Amino acid sequence: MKIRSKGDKIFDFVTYSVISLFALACLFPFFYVAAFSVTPYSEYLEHPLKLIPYHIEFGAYRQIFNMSVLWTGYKNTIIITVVGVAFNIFLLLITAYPLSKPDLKGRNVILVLITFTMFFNGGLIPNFYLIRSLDLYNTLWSLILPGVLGAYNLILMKSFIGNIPPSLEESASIDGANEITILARIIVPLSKPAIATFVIFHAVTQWNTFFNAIIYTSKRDLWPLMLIVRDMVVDSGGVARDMMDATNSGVTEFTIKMAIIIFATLPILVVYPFMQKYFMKGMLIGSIKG
Amino acid sequence: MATTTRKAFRYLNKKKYLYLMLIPGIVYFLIFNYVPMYGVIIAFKDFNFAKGIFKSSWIGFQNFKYMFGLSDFYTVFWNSLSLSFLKLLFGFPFPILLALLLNEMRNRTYQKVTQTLIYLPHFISWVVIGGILVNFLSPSWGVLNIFLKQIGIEPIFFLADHAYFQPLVVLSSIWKDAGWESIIYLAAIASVNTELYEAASIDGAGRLRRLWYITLPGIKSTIIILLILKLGQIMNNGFEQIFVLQNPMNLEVSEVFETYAYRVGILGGRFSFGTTVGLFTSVIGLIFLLASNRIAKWFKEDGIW
Amino acid sequence: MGKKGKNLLSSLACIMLLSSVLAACGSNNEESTASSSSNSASPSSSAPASASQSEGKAESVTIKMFNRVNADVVIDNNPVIAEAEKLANVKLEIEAPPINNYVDKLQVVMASGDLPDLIYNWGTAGNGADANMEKWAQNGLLASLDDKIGNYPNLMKNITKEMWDAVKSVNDGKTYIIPRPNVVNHWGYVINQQWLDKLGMKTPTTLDEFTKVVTAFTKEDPDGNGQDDTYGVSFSGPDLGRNTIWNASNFLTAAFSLPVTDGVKDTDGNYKIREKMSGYIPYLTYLKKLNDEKLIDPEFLINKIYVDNEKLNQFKVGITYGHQYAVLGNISKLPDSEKIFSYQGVLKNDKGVASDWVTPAMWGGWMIPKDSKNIDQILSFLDWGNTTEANTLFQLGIKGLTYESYDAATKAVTRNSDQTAKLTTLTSAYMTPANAINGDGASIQNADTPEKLNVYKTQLEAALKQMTIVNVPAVRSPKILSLNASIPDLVKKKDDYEIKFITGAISEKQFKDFLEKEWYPATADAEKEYVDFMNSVGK
Repeated sequence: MKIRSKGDKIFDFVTYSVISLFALACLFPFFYVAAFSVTPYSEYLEHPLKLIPYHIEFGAYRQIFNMSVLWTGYKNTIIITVVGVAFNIFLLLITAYPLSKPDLKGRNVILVLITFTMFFNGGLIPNFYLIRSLDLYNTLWSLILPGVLGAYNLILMKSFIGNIPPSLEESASIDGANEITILARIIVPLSKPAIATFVIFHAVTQWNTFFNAIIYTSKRDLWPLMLIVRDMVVDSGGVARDMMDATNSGVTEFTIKMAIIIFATLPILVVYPFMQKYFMKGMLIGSIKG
Repeated sequence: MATTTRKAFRYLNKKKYLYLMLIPGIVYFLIFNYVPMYGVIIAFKDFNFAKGIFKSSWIGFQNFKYMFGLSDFYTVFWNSLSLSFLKLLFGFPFPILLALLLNEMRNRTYQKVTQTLIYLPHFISWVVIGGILVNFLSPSWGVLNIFLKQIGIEPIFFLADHAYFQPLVVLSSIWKDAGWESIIYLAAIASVNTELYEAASIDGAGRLRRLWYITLPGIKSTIIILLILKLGQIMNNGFEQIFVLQNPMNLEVSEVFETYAYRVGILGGRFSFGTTVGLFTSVIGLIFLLASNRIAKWFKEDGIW
Repeated sequence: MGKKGKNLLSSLACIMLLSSVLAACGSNNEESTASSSSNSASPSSSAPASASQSEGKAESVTIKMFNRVNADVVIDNNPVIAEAEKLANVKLEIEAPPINNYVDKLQVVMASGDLPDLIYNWGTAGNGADANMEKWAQNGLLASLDDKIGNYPNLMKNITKEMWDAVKSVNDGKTYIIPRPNVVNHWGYVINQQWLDKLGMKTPTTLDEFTKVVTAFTKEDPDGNGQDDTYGVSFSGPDLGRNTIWNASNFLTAAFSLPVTDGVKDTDGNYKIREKMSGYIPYLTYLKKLNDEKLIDPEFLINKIYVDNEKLNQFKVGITYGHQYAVLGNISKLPDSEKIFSYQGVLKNDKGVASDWVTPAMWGGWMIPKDSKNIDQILSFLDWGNTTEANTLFQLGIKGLTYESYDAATKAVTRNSDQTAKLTTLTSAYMTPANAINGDGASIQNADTPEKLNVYKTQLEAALKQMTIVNVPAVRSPKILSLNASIPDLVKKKDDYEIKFITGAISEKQFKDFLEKEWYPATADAEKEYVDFMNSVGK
């Protein structure tokens, strides 16, 4: 290997410390929530700063595992995430690729019109009418289709594809391949980092979606997870439990709230590392050389 | 005449697959974005619940006159704009820096772990984060103030002191989203031609120099596109974040268009006025986007189109 | 222009195409599509979906109900709802958007032209006849019910004249909403009894005693952790629109003879707006003193709703406001609450009178759309809802399923843990058409042992013995109710000035100048109307 210069060492030091500090700051609240979801309440009261509990109890989790609404929410969220991401990526690719061709006639008009949608929308009521007249009201489609293709991500995807050297495409088109083949055989493999980015972007958007479900559904068995979580964790969720008889399990509301947050965020955290390899350099070299 | 038509046909035929691919996307935008857009007309109407959007009576620019006449309006305008600029100034470069530094880490495992960690805050919604934050900063039971007290500093009432509100919003949004936004730059960096690096290291360039002369220029177009898009969203301050941090003592500095329109337009059922506010902010945003796109073109950069 | 037309045309064509494709997709992807597509007929027709029922009269009518229900309750295949359908001979289709965004969805539904048959409106401070209802009524969406309600004995019996008066439209004097009667809340305060005992103090009943207790709670380390980390008292508020210090702060304002609601005479026997009352400045000055001396939670002006309660439960604060159900209710949040806290009535004023201002006890109300074809059937469902049978069903659930035994006389309920868990998913107080029958609920929340029930009863009796109940009529004078709409900027400024005065950002003179020069003149008209209204009510 090469010898590391002094400059490189300082550079390394700065890099590692900045990233490490930031990472710690980011970890903290999550750790906080996770720790207190398993800490007995009395212990939390005594040491609100202590993040490693003496005793661990999973009472709050046992309790939320019994809440059937949460499981229905899980099912719905997974459906709208998986289907939504599939549609999103497909539409992004087939729309962004033609738009990345600077010489395509009409491209600018289309881009302007698409950009326009970032700013102007009809508001709640026309969208509500639209969903109903498309017969999407009270279906999970109403949580998948609106927003499945957004101007913002489309423009970014277009710019990514535009950055791919044209020479790579040209060789293929000389071979007589049409654009659909080029997109599938050349552009898609080369865009893996970008695709991975938008997969994770849209997945998280879908995972966290709640407002559309309020407006576009009237049935509770169609509620996505986040809507239920919000209603249980935020302000009035407390009111809700306040109005009811106690469960008398000895687990306090605070601990249950913490557990619900973890319960609802964990899956996407588990999935993320599997996406991660696509951001790593080296992937790309492989695909070009191979 | 005939030749131009024939030319056009020949062109279409040559590019038929490209146009074919565009159809689903265009149809999508037409249906889900353009069809409902007639809703903006209620900004020029006196919305009546029974009559609906089309049959409500026209009142011209009365809603706009009312809006410009409210003394609140100018405060809200200033709050929205200044907050956005602060966010842009401090929040925009940070994810780029993170991505560059992450990319320079050689220990792959450490890189992976830290990378995952910095995305964590993004997964927790503002409602939850806001709750924790309000709790943390509280002068009566907040961890931060307990700590300050222990080292002999008087507790600070962060959420009531007007001076702290905007820095707080900027910092918390950097903390929550900078890691997440760095993903897009990482993806851009991953596409930078690696041969350039190899050539540079043969030339004996240090890592800082390589970063400056190869990586940054390599992701320049992504940076510019994102900057233009961000400028277009200058009037969006992030509803949820502001909403959870708002309270009666900081309302003077914390009320922005999104919270204002929600309170007045939706909760108050004044759809016309809510739409008026929305339309106004959209126009401002569009102006910013068009201007920045134009500026980018002057500098011979790729804009959005 | 022409381009736009073409866009529209082509997009319309696309809608048709796409919708047929998606409808096909939908049916094999989700089981719910089949039933939903029938609901979403044409949005332009504003007739409620009752066509199928109107043919066969013997059939039970379907009521589409739009209600505010907590997230834990499962609506589909719910045996409690099934039982209600049987008892009331109706079919219920309940739509219950999340509580936090109830108003959002309600506004959209009201604007959509396709209204449910029975719509719940929470309104402001429990009175469903709020500005939104007035607007919907004025726009012609709601049925006026004056000539019908007289036919329903339970409605007439359970809903008092005061309640009916309280919900009449201020514009035309008609009734567009049917109140949901609630239990009468006697607002007082909840105090940490353990702290009191530890410090050897009595529960305060006068302002002096109160100040002493608050001081001791702050300075004498009542929790014994050796740290200066407690405060005497705190407040909280439900939204940004109202200052926390006016939210159920009866226990403290009573000491200044200052009612927190309109409709009560000042000490000199005259009606006036709150800002002119003799106790107004003294009350704010007292809060300023507490704040200056750091005896009150520094966040008392900005706590969001229930944060004060959380601080109480985390032993940071010793006193917050609460009513007779608060202590037992709190058991859901903190086990053994009834052994830690106690409920007390309001403080006495300088003449030794502790005024318990009681407003008509309502928890929002029910609206019926004008176009409804089944107004009578819907009203008779609500009529059933105002019976003990209905109230018991929705509050307790079904015997064997959600409780073991119930004694209506003592309100004693027993449940095993299975039944308790079931209860939370099957019903809640939010489900009741009327949450109280003749001012009383079927059960006391969490009073599932004789001991707990006894705690509730003794504390309530003690508080009632000390307090003088003042029944406050509903104020229905339009101008005073709509200050928020007529002078929004000034209302905001006044709220802000109250806060600034308490925190010391402005002096008493500046505050009084503002009241004299800006507030009183701007509200003079509304005040006159209000005073006239109140004097006419007296007669």
